[in-house]
Amino acid sequence: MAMRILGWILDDEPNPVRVLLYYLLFSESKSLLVFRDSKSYEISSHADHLDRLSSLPEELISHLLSLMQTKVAVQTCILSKRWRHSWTLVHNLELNCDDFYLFTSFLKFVDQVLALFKPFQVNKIRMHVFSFRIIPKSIVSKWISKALTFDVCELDIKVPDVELPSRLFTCKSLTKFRLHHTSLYFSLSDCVSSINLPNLITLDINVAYTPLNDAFKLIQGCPILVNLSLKIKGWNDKEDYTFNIPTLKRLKLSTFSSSRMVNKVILNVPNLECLIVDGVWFSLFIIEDLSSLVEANVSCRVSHEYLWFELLKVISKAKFLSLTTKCWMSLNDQCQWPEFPNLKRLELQGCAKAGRWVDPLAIPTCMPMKLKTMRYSKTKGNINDIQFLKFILSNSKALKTLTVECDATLSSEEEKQLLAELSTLYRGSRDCQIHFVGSSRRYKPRNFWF
Amino acid sequence: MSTSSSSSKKIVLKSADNETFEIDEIVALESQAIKNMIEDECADNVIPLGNIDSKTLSKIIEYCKKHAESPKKDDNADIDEKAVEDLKSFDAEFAKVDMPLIQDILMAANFLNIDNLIGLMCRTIADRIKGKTPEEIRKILNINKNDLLSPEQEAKAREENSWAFD
Repeated sequence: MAMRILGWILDDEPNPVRVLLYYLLFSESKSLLVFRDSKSYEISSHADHLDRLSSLPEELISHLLSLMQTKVAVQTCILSKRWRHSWTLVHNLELNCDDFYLFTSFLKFVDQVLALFKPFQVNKIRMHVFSFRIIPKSIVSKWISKALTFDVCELDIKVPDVELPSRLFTCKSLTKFRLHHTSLYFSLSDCVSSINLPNLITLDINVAYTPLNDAFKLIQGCPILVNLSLKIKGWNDKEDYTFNIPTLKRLKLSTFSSSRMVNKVILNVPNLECLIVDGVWFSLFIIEDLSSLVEANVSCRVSHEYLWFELLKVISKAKFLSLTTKCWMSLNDQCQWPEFPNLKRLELQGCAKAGRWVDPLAIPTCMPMKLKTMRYSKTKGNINDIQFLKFILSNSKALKTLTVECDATLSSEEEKQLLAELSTLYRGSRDCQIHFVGSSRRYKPRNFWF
Repeated sequence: MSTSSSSSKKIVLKSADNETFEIDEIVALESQAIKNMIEDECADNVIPLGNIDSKTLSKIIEYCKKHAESPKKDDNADIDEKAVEDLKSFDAEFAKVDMPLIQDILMAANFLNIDNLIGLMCRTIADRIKGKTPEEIRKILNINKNDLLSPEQEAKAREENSWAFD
């Protein structure tokens, strides 16, 4: 009977049911079924078995190879017979021109990989070409077209310049698309009449100078967009734009520009949960209704101080707030801090010399009951830092942890002095502990709780 | 996930060398294969795992326990952040074992369908062979001598894929 089952299991080409049955029936005998390739196999006794890894199912080998740079994955073809063609089944491609000494070798490599690779499924294709390389737009366009024939889910492209093939704009498999290019102009070719990326969840693009219209058409062609990252390198558009993206949960805005803004971008994103802002904040963006906001990370500078307080007002409903900019304190005494009704965790940086802390007349509503954790990093321990920490410590009744991290430039003496000053401050919360972290530059930085 | 009812229920796993392990059902549910068995109600008594030895199985249970206990995404991101860090360092420590055991764990995790553990083991192997010569990789992976390419076959493979060896 056993022999008949064995006969059946080994009778035909292996499939998952047969392999599983084999395992269940014969695993205790410690022999191994080894597939030479997809059609032939053999049983080897324990004494003569192949290495464990070579007896892994093909999916695991391709999972492993998919974690490597594609160049390295292809090089495994010489390891052994088992590994000879395994790389062709990888589900991620990492095509990076840094891995090649000669640029022409890289071009040949990408052509070959795209021609020989025959995966079951493709998750991610990443193509990064250094900005100073001159690569004809038509080549990149051809590569992207080829990548799209694999029903790729994630496409991550970093090239000097690109002309996107029109089939990209109606690609149904695409869930994540990242395009960074260094050319100053982003434009869609004329043949792109309609954009519909029905499954795109994450879009990460950069935009430089006019016409912005084309880049913004892309955003509007994504009906279920959840994550959007927009990097704007230059701006001299005169048109206003309005985005209504009710599905958007996470938005990252990086703006860098010196030109004067004359237009507006109105973002209507009522379900946004996370906002990240870096670069320089201009009056350009008008964000309405952020009542669902949970988290905001702001590391930008502002061109005018009033804009800072406008931005704070926009993000004031957040539970978790990280303001890693030196210029968060006002330069004048009459500033209007918004209420932070939900704030539970706050991260700030030590203030710049020019900043000035004046206790606000009204205590923000979060402080008596909600604020639990605070981190104050890169502090030099100047008078404004101390005044601010004094205000926080005395008024935050629910504060559990205040972490104070010293700036790397602080001398040992200055650190000691800061520590002494902190330890005299009155704490409004009985459970509050201060975690003091000395300068990370030191061999053994001070690091303790008190 | 209901915790009160599932935390009390126990599941018994039996290894290839006949050692039994009694674990909470919630720990066993980290394995998609066992989860399916439980849902299909074919896991009444002891679940025999004839292709996993006790050494490998106890490592896998250690992993599942930690991951089952670790708090899932929570309203309070402070706890969340700490838990994520904690889990990361647990994973890093967990993977500090010799290559044969890593390969056994990978095989077993694949059999039991534990996605995170498959990922962790594959990443560990990929990290260990990163930047190594083919000879070193063969040694690390303990590739069997009978499966090596002949010098002619290796030359042919290099020739065919010469574009990847530049």
